[in-house]
Amino acid sequence: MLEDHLSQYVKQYGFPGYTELRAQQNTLRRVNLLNGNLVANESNRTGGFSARVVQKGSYGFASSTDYSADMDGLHRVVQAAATNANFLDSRLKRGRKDFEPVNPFTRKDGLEEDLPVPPASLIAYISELEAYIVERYPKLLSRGVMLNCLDMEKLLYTSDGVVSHSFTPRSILKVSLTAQDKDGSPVDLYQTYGGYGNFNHVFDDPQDYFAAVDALYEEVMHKAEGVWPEPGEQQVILHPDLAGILAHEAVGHTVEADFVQSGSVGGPNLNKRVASDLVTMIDYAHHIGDALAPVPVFVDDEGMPGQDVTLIENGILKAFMHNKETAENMEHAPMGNARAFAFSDEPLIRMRNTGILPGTSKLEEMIASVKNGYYFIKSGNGQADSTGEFMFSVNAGYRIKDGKLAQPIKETTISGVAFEVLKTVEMVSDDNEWTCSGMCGKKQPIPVGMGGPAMKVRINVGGR
Amino acid sequence: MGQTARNVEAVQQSAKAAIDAMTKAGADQAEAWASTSVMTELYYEGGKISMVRTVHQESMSLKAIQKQRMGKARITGLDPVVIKKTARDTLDSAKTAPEDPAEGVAEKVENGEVYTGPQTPDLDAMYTQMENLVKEVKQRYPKVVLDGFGVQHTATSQHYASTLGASLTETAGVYEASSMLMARDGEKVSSFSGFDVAYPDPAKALLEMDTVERNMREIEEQIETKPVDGSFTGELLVSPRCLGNILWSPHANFLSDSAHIMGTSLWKDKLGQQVADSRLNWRADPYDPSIVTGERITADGYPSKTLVIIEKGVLKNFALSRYGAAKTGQKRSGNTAMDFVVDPGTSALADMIKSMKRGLIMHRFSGAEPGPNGDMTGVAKNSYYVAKGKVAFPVDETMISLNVTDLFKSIVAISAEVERGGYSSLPWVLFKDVVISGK
Repeated sequence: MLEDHLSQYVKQYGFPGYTELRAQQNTLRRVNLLNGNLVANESNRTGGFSARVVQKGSYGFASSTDYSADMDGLHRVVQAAATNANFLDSRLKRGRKDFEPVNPFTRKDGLEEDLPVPPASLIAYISELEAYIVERYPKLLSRGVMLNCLDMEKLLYTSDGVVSHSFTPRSILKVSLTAQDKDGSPVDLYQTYGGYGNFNHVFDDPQDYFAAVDALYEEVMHKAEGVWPEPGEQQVILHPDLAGILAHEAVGHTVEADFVQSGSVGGPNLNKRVASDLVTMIDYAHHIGDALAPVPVFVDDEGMPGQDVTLIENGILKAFMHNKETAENMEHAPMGNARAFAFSDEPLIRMRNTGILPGTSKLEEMIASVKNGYYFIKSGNGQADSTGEFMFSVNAGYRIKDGKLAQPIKETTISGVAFEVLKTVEMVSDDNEWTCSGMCGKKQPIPVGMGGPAMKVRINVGGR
Repeated sequence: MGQTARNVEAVQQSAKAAIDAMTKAGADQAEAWASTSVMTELYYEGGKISMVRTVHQESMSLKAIQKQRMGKARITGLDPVVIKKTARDTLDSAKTAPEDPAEGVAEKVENGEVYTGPQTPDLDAMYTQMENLVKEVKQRYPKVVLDGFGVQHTATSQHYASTLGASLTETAGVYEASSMLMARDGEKVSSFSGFDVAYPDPAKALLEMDTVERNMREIEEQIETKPVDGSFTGELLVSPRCLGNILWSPHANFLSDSAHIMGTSLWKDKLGQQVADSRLNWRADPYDPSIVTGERITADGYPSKTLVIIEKGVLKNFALSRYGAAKTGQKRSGNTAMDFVVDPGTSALADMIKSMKRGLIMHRFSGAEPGPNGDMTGVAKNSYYVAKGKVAFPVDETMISLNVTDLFKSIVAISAEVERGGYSSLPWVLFKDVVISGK
């Protein structure tokens, strides 16, 4: 647990104007068995202290790995940040007034999750799963079992009087299997499990995942018989797993206000129809209904309380995601979207838990409604674009022929222009699945939550 | 003693302290990396130079092996008390690991210290460089928007030591600049592009550096786009930067440790065999004079050597670390870094375009991370449709589908022109038989 040296610092030195002080520690525990070889058995702790000072609209940031009770050491970092802000202000003379102050408050969140995780327990867990795979499926070309447990602890003091101490753990299991197709080429598939919480709270008995491994094996064997999809625009059912990445890549990035300011397609479409009226999309701060969100943000790294942002409501684009500056520029309210990954990173506008709300259809009836198309069930990486054109990879799926699942497909990539694809949404299922196993990249990586229901859309499919 | 000398002393002493602590705690073998760095950054976003950032970082990475069981840890800071505790924790972690006879540390090959680049940032010169680019872009390319534009200087001292006598120190300083770019005309906006360059001297104008000016000019052309018609098999002319991204796939899936340990590399039995057109010469060469950020110490503690990957189309080496080599019974490679150099060819770029019957010029690929079978499917970004030797229009919603192993054998021409951005030295390459599809 981070010791609070900042309280003493603030009493002794105060703040040089608008200031955010942040002590942060990221702890990553990773074990990875690759074909039975332990290729990773590591514990990485990166931590330190940073200060960000804003002087008349110019930002100065400084950080150091040295975070301790040495008040003079902390003060040198704060002074470096102030010097950096002054370097810019003296040249640019922007003359901007300070941000509107926030009412002071103090919060502590998630600290009860800071519990030890002995390396032996991680290795034992993946070893049991690896042994199950070897025994059940000896003909696989290769297998990988990895546990990745990332804890992010932040202690924030701002010149507004906000004090926030948060601990956000994430424990992810990844199983990957590689088979061979009829030509002997490798065919691989992976699945992630887990989410928010300390390892001991998220994972109990490896046998809980034996059925999931069996299902993954079946899918990779189907994929080994896969055919190329037909390229071009197709009618597609997206599994809930893919709805989240669609929300994140297709829409989310284009409505981050920094991207809007630079000219993304989100800007001119505020308060206009961008999707069918079946689509409502929200960036949740810390709860989805009564359940804790996969990446709960109660206070962001500018000291703003986390609040939900309804991005699209019944097909109409309603809001952007902001930091304090872009919110002020556009006369909106900041809702807690400014986050930094490491102690040495400045806060950027980031999504938190972005998803599409469930509808009323059943998945079975959605598949049955497609005469000729595809059902895509697993995704990998994705990317957004300023034009609203997005892409994400599809690692597993099936053709749909006359309303029934037919041949499995090889991996492919799907793409489209977000606001056009979302207008083609005809059906939305009544279920909802969320994940936080991925990292969003935007100058800095950061965990994000993504989720949604199954959706029926028209989309571009890559193939041969 | 100057700051650089103090940094070198600090990392050497810290690594030694870590080795001593792990040995005392019972390690049969141990290795330690110690590093100290200062990064100074100027950042431009939202239409203005918005931030100056200074990041001081100290870190250590420890590995201990006891009875062939391995544990690893990484910490920030070089505090001797924390180092001792982490050394003990690393041993404890090793004790819980399974035995692996392939585990080990780097042996002494040739010890030494290497110094490259300027150690102290010139913030005024960096500011002038950024300010000048912003002004020039506004004047010469008024539709171009710079987004997330950063100019930074990083000074690093790092030291590797092992219980087998390896002792290597590197002190490096480098300037880097990168930016996303898009072009805007009223409400219309182009796809984003970007540049990233590394260089030793901030006095040089960014627009004079390879790729930067070309990117600015081309992005303004890419506001009005349309998809290609239908689906066809055609030619693909890949830009140098895009080639660098494509080469990542065979490096990860055919050459690397994990590909060979898993047994999934399609090239695992192809050493000494033709895997590409005979005009392809590809190496990982950190000492190429155009590569400013070349690796000097490999990630597993050896002096980096140039690695010839493909020569005249023949596969010469894999990219295996000490562990990967020990695990698979093969030779450790010179390096596992991605300081890629592909030798230029003899064709003029203009002639390569004139020779194209129907295809794309691709500047950026946005698609699925290629799998072990070499298949790549994705969207061609910042790209142009070419028909009958003429550049017709910039495209959108256009996808390509290919297999990397087939691609390497389908080279039509390699350009004499090369782009060098400080990270690599790569030409343009024209390939055939690529599936291209529009809406």
